[in-house]
Amino acid sequence: MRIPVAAASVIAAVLAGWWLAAHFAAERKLASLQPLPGRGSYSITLDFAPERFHQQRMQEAGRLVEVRDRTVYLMDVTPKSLHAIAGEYWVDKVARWEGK
Amino acid sequence: MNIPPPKAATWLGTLPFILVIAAWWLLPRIVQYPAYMLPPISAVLDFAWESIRDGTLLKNVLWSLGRLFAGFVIGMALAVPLGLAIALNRHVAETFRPVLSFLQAIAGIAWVPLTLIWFGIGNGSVIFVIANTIFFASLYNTVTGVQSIPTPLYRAVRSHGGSGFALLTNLILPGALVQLLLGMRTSMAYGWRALVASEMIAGSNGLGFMTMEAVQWQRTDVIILGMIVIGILWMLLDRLVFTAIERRTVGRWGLLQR
Amino acid sequence: MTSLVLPVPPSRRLFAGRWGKVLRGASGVLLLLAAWQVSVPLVGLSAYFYPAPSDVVASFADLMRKGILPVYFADSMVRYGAGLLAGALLGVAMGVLIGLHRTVAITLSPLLKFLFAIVEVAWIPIFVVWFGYGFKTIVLALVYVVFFPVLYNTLLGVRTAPQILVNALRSLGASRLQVLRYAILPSALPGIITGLRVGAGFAFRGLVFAEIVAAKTGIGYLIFEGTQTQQTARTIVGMIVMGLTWLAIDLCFLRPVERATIQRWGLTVDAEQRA
Repeated sequence: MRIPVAAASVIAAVLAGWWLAAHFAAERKLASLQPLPGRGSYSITLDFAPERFHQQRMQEAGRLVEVRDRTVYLMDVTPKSLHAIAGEYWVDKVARWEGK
Repeated sequence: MNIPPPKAATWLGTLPFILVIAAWWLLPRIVQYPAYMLPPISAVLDFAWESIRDGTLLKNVLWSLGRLFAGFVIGMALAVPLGLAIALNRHVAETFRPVLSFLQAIAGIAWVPLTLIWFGIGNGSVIFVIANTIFFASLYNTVTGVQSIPTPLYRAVRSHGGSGFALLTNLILPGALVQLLLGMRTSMAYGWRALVASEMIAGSNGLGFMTMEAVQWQRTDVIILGMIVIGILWMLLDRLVFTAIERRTVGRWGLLQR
Repeated sequence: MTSLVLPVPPSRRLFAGRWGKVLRGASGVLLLLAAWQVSVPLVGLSAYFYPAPSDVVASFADLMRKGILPVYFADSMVRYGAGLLAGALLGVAMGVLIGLHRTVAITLSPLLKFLFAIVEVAWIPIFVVWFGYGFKTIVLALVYVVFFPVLYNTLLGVRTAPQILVNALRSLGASRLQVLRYAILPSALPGIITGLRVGAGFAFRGLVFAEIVAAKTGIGYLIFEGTQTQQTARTIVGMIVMGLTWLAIDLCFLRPVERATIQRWGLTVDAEQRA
């Protein structure tokens, strides 16, 4: 039974580490944007052109208004959703956006 | 799984079926729900009668079974010789076993998208997926079977002067066959699932295709009939063919725990 | 010709022992990869039909970089785990309930056999009609396919619990629950684990199929999406991830647990012989 327990521990450790890393990455990326409004508009810049997967993910966080080059423009994003998005390792930069 | 029923109690077994049918009949009279969710028994029976009468049900069944058979034959025909060739040298067998385990893990349904772009929709795709499933399962079983022939048996045959061809036919082949038969029922269970699944995605006719296509038109009566026929067919196949084979061969040779 | 078939005596084997086996296995994998890479120019088809290992590696890196693969993998595993857990729990619960009452077992047996004969794959269309696409449908299909082998094996285990043990416990004044816990369940456990292993295998393939038909994320969906978006290398990545995941699940969880329970309870039949 050692192997399953060891494997389960490794998985748990990886998940915990991932969550922590995401949490601190989000803090870092959002530092300059504090304090966060209840609902805000942001531009999320990736390292690459967003695919359907990323746009889907964004739409869960807020209203996707436009996708230009490597940046996605969202409106109506709560701080919680923003924190979740910013934590993703494929998100490069988060900036405040004036909105359309 | 095999609970010996006392003589007078086989009718007990029909009770749940009667209850299910009764509940099915009763449900629309008690609860309100959209008709497409659960068709009335009459709808399913009507469709059953209709598709038996105009032969489409029989056609679908035969297409499905035909493909299963074709895939089985192709898969076995390719796997056994290759398996024997690989297994003859223990070094080679050991070299390829991890690869074969891996390939067996993805055998079958995972190949459907690839077959779609390779062969398009139709027989090619479905038979390929079934053959693929049977091939990797049989390949692995053949190699494992030969590899697990106990060394004393080798020595016994050789001490009787057997070598080369005699060794092959008297020791190697039966050894592979044992493992193949032991795994036959399970590999056919996977093969059957591969058949239904690939027909659903990449077929143009057959039971799987018939069942999945009906989702588009919300013809739940077709879906339910399809499911019932698939169930009956597998019961027949499993009971009449594979269990029988298993019982008459490895069961008789005492290799099966009953 | 004849020497080909003789097993090589241990003293003469190159790299004898466990590490020799690992090395040989690894070389087999490398050989296959090499053959694949070499065959690409020979086959001469575009990467859409026949991607090369190099394409696949690049695609893997791409999928990781874009965060797609981890999420798809996690989604698949959550569905799989949920289905496995729920199916196993239900199977054991029902198995114990049914197993303790002989008449109930006899009555329900034919219906259960028939239901299991309707393979989980065949239930997916009606599940889609009833529950739509996504998590519910997929997990339900998995619960279905895990439930039956676990149920049967629990049933068998419960009914073949050594009567001596049961009597001994009863004579010591054990309650029904205690008899269950100390005699029946332990003797049923190896069978339950075997049933779980069988169900886990069917469920894994079923997961991939369900994701192709009824999901928008997951490894099965990745396998499907790759061919639909002219990124066939992604399909291969998905298939390889699938294979490695199954090997990991089998080697790290299923087999060790089975070995542990069988060794503990002294039974000699294991899933390798049944499956």
